[in-house]
Formats: sequence, structure tokens, C-alpha cells
Amino acid sequence: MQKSRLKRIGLLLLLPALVYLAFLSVYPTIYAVLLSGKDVNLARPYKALFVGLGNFFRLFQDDLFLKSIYNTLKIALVSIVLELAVGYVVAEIFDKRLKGMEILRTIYMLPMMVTPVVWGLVWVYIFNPNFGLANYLCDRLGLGFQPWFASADTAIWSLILVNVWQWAPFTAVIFLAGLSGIPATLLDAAAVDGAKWYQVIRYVKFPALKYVAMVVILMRMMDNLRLFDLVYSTTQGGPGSATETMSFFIYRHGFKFFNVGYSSAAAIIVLVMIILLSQLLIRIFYRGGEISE
Amino acid sequence: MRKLIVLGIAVLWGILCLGGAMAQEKPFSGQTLHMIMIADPFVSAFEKINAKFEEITGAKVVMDSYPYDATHEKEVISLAAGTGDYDVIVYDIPWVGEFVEGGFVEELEPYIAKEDPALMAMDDYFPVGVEAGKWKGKVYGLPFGLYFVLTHYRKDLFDQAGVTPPKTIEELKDRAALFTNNPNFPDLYGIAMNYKRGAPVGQAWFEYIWNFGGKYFKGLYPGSTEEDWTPVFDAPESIEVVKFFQEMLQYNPPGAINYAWDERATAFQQGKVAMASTWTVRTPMYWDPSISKVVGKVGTTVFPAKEGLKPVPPVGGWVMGIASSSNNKDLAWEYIKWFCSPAIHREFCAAGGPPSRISTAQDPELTKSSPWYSTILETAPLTYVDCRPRIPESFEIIDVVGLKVSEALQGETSIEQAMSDVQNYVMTLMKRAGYKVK
Amino acid sequence: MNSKSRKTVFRVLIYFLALVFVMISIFPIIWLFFTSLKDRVEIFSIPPVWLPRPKAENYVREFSGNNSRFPFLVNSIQVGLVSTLFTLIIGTLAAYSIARFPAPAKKNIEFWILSVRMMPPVAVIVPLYLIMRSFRFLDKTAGLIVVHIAFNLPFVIWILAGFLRSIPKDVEEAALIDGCSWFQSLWKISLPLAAPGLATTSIFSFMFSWNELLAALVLTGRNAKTLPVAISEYWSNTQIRWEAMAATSMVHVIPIIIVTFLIQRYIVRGLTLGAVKE
Repeated sequence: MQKSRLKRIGLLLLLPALVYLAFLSVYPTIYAVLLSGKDVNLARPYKALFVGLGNFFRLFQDDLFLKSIYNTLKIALVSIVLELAVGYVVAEIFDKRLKGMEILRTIYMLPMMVTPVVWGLVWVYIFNPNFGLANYLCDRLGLGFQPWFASADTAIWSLILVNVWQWAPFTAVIFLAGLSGIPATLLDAAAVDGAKWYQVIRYVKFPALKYVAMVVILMRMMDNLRLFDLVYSTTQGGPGSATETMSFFIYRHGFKFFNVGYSSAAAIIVLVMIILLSQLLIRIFYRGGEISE
Repeated sequence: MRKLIVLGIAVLWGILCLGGAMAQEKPFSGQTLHMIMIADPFVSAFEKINAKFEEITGAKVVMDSYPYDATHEKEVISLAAGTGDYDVIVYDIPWVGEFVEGGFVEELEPYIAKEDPALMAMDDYFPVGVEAGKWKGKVYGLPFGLYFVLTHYRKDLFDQAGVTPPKTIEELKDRAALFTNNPNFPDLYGIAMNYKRGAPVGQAWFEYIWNFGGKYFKGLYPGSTEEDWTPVFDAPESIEVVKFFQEMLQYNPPGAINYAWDERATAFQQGKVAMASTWTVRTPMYWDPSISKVVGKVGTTVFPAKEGLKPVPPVGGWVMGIASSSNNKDLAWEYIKWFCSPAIHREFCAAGGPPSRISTAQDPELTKSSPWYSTILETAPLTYVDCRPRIPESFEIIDVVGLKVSEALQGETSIEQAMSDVQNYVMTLMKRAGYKVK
Repeated sequence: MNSKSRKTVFRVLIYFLALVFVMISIFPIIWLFFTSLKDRVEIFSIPPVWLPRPKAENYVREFSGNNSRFPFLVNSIQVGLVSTLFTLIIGTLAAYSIARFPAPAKKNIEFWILSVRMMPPVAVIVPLYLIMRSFRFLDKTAGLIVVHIAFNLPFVIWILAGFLRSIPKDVEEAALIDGCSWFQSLWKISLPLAAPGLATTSIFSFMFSWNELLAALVLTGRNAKTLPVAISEYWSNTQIRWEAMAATSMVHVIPIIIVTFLIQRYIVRGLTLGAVKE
């Protein structure tokens, strides 16, 4: 078949997807950009005003928005570090491939398969200061009464705990696959050379997992920056503004106050942040080389 | 042959008429009425009464009820979508401006005008309730669920300590201090208040500001004729209210920093605190022997103001309106006028609803089982309909106050800074919305 | 002898550690299950009731009668199945194009498709609401299906393209030489070979739709509500009905557990496909 005919067929096959995404992903994004230049309320659309970059200026002076950026980054970074650490340890454990591990591994994966809404509510129950399981155990272990979600100091850490609990399995599964991809010959060679286990980890395993880790960091970064469901079903941004994430800020202005213009402007900023951060990460890991994701 | 046909038609016609007459007994049979409302304690009262409506009209009543913020969200989304999901809308008084300006609810005067005045009995409502359901002079909601804040206190403990119920804010502080960490009253705290971020503590600020001699907009106060919407959230009185909240925190049970309406009422009902100023919708809970530990020990008094000031007790609650996008407006009106009629309202209150009609609050039988009605009658004339703002921007304003006050009380910022932030925020908001500010 | 017993100790240690992590992962699910069997009194008791008397009243109450959650379960199933079906159809065609056909600026298109995934859903949800409103698609399962397909497509295309690329070209080329059209080659050769990939992506697609909250929250109302939304409605400032929430949640979670066990190998393959260079 001629190349041009192939090209045409190829394009034809691609067309439905492109058209679909154009209408339902690109168009809404452009719409959001247009909205961000207006001061408009969903309940009173006839009073819309064009304000250009006004919303963006207001955002950068909005304490709550700036706090939400800080909170989101804090949650994202701490969560990722913990997920990598826990994920690696668990991957090493399951990599030993003992009998019956596959079932255990499957059970370990369950948290990430369930919708965060359910986990939010379950953990709110567990973390309830008065009749929750967590404080009951803390009391028995002599650790005393913890406020968990109820105090501005501990709320964000409780949120991070739940987040890591849910997603460490994701990291573990990917690391596990990465570990199993290391050629046995390499490990044998290291053993022959008399390398200790920590040297093996540092000089053989870590380099082998570098690409995998980058993908994990990238994906978890994107997910953590968009964190919403968990906040919605646990703290709703409180106490005070301790757990206000960027997505929740956007939601508050969009669906509690219905200031959809202001909300869209915040959303655009978040989108730009995600794009810049992922570009930055890719560049850090790949100084120059081409990636096929 | 012809005669048979004529006879047959006559018989058929007769049957149809009879059938028609039977069907007419239930004018709306087969139809469904959809209501959306707040999940407040009166939901169970609604369910009992709705069953009656179904019997009378043949229409099924389906109620969707939600917590506070979710009710606002779902109502606005549904009404702005215009999909006709709901017919009867139960909405909070601070949302009246927003809903009317958004074209969400129908003007009710044309419907009221067609009805028997005795059935509507508009004069029988507490006047502040009718005002609350009005916007720019027109009625958009009937005040079926008017709430007042009464100060509830433990008669038995007060008698034991030999003190009188608080008449002023200063006395309130004293009583709260007296009952906290008092060896004579173990396991007891002085008071339970709302502190949770958002509407709970936000609304609380508006409830107290008048009783500290303050206000939130320069030109908005009882009897005002001036049009001045300049916010005054950084005035000395405004700051004083937050300082009061902070001071009272020590007289609240631990964990009060997250108290909302339900937690503070539960604390009182479980006997953990000596006082609680709560909305009348929850008062029946304290008299319910199946859940309350303080039955027979509760007294009520009018909401206190600072020494020398006349009390302006908070008034609030819910109004019932017809959704503009409803496809069943006639059925919706049937329900509303029936539900709000004096007879049915009385039944509603007997089942635990908050009395919104003067006749109901004076009803001798109900007053016997609900002694707090006398305090309601005392309270109602003192109230001010705009004690919480009802303009379209009010949800956001209350939420911002609730956020900043909560941050100040959590120690994330100073009280002065918090109220200054609120002032800037609301000032910008009012200017953008086109209000006259100076 | 010595090294053998050391090996055993090591193995025991590994099993123990694995069990610890597994217990941490699974106890909230177990707790959720037992909570769904409790009544109000047992919910609030201290010390916590570990093993309540089994009773199904929570399930019965939440899934029957006037306020039944059952229609929402049906909605969730419907939205999941239909959106997965269409995502697969559109996605497979697109993935095949990317994997096998020379198209202009292929690499860019691929990256662009993936970057759509970066979009925080909160950002586009308002425009989507307004779009759906003007097409009168609000509070209809069709509306939610349309949006879920849009959210799922990028990921599905990405994974399927990877799968299709990894199939050796010779088999297809042989078929083409034998006179098959490209469509026959796709249908009879490539798709069957890519079956594991199709299985993986349909599972991910369905799970995403099953678990999705935000779009369902905003775009559906009384009629088209899905289970996650119904579950989120249990959250409140006031007394949460834990036992009811637990029952509804279990109904949502049990299919996930079953599916996870059945196809866990595919899940692992799917997750690692993009991450690990085979």
C-alpha cells in the first residue's frame, strides 16, 4: 500500500479520538481560560464582568490561595518521599518470591483500587477523637489522646498518612516489577565480588530503578497536586485552613460561592504549575536524552 | 339493536363518570413531588406529615435532605441547571437574595392571592418570618421553619449553685466560668458553642455582633433608612466578638474547636455543659427521654446582650418556595399552602418542628409539653430580620468570616489581623458587586 | 547447617514483615466490613466492638424503600460499562493508528494526549457543567458517560499503543501479504494478540469510572447519581450515620475486591507497562 494511503487511514483511525478530546478536553480548557478572565457568578450570569488578568492578581494576594499552594506542595512532597521509601521496602520484601506471596501482594494492593471517598469516611471514623479505633489504641499503648483530623497541627499529617497508606502499594508494585527486571547475572556478579547488601542496593538496584522511580514520582506528583476526593471526604480543608489544597480551593470558589471566573483562574494556575513541574522533573532525570514515555 | 348500543354507551359513560368521580377524590394521584431540604432534626416530623399529604392528594412526596453546605451546593447547581429536578425548595434565610436574584424561585404573591386568607393566615406568622422570606418587598418563601436562638441552661445546676439565668453577656461569662472545673460540679463545663470553620462559627459571629452593640454594614441596622453598604468588620465591636469566642473556649468541653450545631446540642443534651445557646429546632431534643439525659432539668431564657444593651436575639431558619424550573408548580403550591396552614403547622410542631406561627406558640396544649414556647414569644419581637445578611453575596461573606475567625481561634493568625482580612475581602467583594460603599 | 537455619530465620522474618504490611493495608477494609454490621450503639462504644453480632439491617435499609441507594448502584454499573465500551472502541482505533501507521507529528500527538491527563478535573468541571447544561445532558447517565470517556481516553490510548507496539510486526505483515485488509489484520490478528492489553485497559477504564467522584458530583442530580456520590453524602458536619455509610461502601467495594483478585496479574502488567522497559 502506498504511504499516502496509509497516512490517510492512520489519520482516520485517530480522528474519533482526536475529535472527542478536542470537544471534551481541549474546548473545556479553552472555556476555562476564557472564564478566568471574567468575574462571573453561576447564580447571576447576567452580571458578568470582563476583568482580564484581574482574577489572577487577586489570586496572588489571596492568603488562602497561597496557603493552599503551600499545603498542596507539602502534602505532595512528603507523601512522595514516604511512598517511595515504604514502596521500596515492600517491594524488596515481595521480591523474595516466597510461596504464597502473590496472594499477600494482591491483598496489599487493595487500598489503591478503592475510591478515596470510602477511605476518607473510614479514616474519619477511625480517627474520631472520642470513639475511634486510633485513639483507643493510642490510649492502650500509652500514647494518649491524639486530635488527628481535629487540630490544625495534626490534620495535615493525618491526611498524609492516609494518602501514603493508600498509594504506597502503587509504588511497591512498580518497584517490584523493576526489581524483577534486574538481570540475575548482575546480582550474581555483585555477590561474587563480595558486595554487602547495602552496597548492592546502592550500586546495582538504585541505578536500575532510576527510570522507574522517575515515572512513579511523575505520576504521583500529578495525582497529589490534584488531590481532592480525600480532602472532600475528611477535613474539607479545615481545621482553619490547615488542609486546604489547591483543588479544594478551586472547588470552594466554584461550588460553594459559585464564583466560576475566579475559580477557573485558580485552576489555570494549577494546570500551569503541573505542566511546569512535570517538565522540570523530566528534565532533571533526563538531562538531554529523549524519552519515550 | 340501536337501543342496545345507546344503552351500552350510556352505561359506559356512567362508569366513566363514576370512575372520574373516584379519581377526582385524589387530584394528583400518580404524580410525584420532589423536595430538597436541610437534614435538620425536623426531617422525621416531615416524614410523618408527608404521609398525610400522600393520602389526601394521592401524590408521592420524595424528600432529599443534606447537610448545610451540601444543601446550598446541590440547590444552586440544580436550580441553575434548570432541569426541574425539584419542585419544592427549602432554603435558608441568608440565601434568599441569592436565590431570588438568580431567578431560582417563584414569586408567591399571585398564588397567595388566590387562596382563602384564613388558610394562608399570613398575619399569624411571626412578622419577622414573613419579612425573612421577602426580597425587595415581594414574598418568595413561606417561613415554615423559623428558628430563634434561646439560651438553654440547666435549671437544676443553677438552683444548686444558687445563681440566676444569665441576662447579659457578662453574666453569661460568669456562669460559664462558675461551672467549669468546679469541684462541686464534676465532669461539667460551662457552655457549648459553635467553633467549626465555615458556616458554624461564621454564623455565630453574626448572631453575637448585634448584642455587642455592633453591626456588619454601616447602613444596615434595625430601623435604618440609609443606604450604606460599607462593611465594618474591623470595628472594635467586631473584634470584641471574636475575643469573646476565644475567651469562652476555655469554658467549652475539649474538642469544642470543631463543634458545629449538632455537637454543641449533643453536649448539652448529654449533660456535659451547663448552658448552650442553640436554635429552637434542636430544643425538642432536650425534652426527648429516649436520647436526652437532661429531661426536666432545662430552662430557657432570652439571648443575652452586653450590659446596657437591648438584646437582639438571632433569628434564622428555613423558608419554603416553588422552584421556577419545576414542572409541577401547582402540585408544589398545593403542598406548600397545605403544609404551612395553621392546622398542619401545629401538627408539625407537635411532632418536633419549630413553631413559626404565633397561634402555635400560644397553643395551650403544646405549651404544656414545650415550656420553651414562652421564651420564643418573648424573643420574637426583639429580633432583626437581617441579623445575618440576606444579600446574594451572603453565603460567601459568612464563609469568609467563618474561615478567618476559625484561623484566629486556631492560633494561625491574630484576631485583629483576621478581622482586617475579612474587612478587605468583603470590601472588595461589595465593590465588585456594585454596592454603594464609602 | 548454620546457613540453612539462618535462611529459615530470614524467611520467617520476610513472611512476618509481609504480613505486617498486609495487615496495615487490609485492616480498614475489615473494619469497614464489621462497621457495616453494627447498630448505632455498637458504633459509639468504647472499647470498640471488634466482632458485632452479624445482622443485615443496614444493607436492607439502605438499599430498599423510598430512599434506596439501589438505583445509584445501577447508575454506577451502567456508566462504567458503557463508558468502558466506547473508550475501548475509540481508544483501540487511535492506539492502532499510533502504533502501526505513519502519522504526521506522531510523537507530539502522543505527548499531547498524555498531557490531557495532567489537567486537574476541578479545572474543567465548570466548563463541562456549562456545556452539558446547554446540551441538556445534565443529570443523565449519558452525560456522565460522555465525560468519563473523555477522562479515560488518554490513558487507554497510551497503554494500548504500548501493547500494540510490542506485538511483532511479522504476523501482521504476513496477513497483509496474504491479502487481508488492514481492518481484517487488526480484527483477526492484532486484537487477539493484544487481548491482555485490552483486558487491562478495560479494567482500568471501568475502575476509574466506578470510583470517580467529582464529575458525578457536579453533573448528576437525583436521577443519574452514582454510588461514590451517594457515599459522599453520608459525610456531614453533624452525626454521620456510620453504619449506613459502611453498608453502602461495602456494596461499592466488594466488586472491586473480587475483580482485583481475579485480574491482579493484569493490573500489575498494566501499571508497569509504561514504567518498566521490558
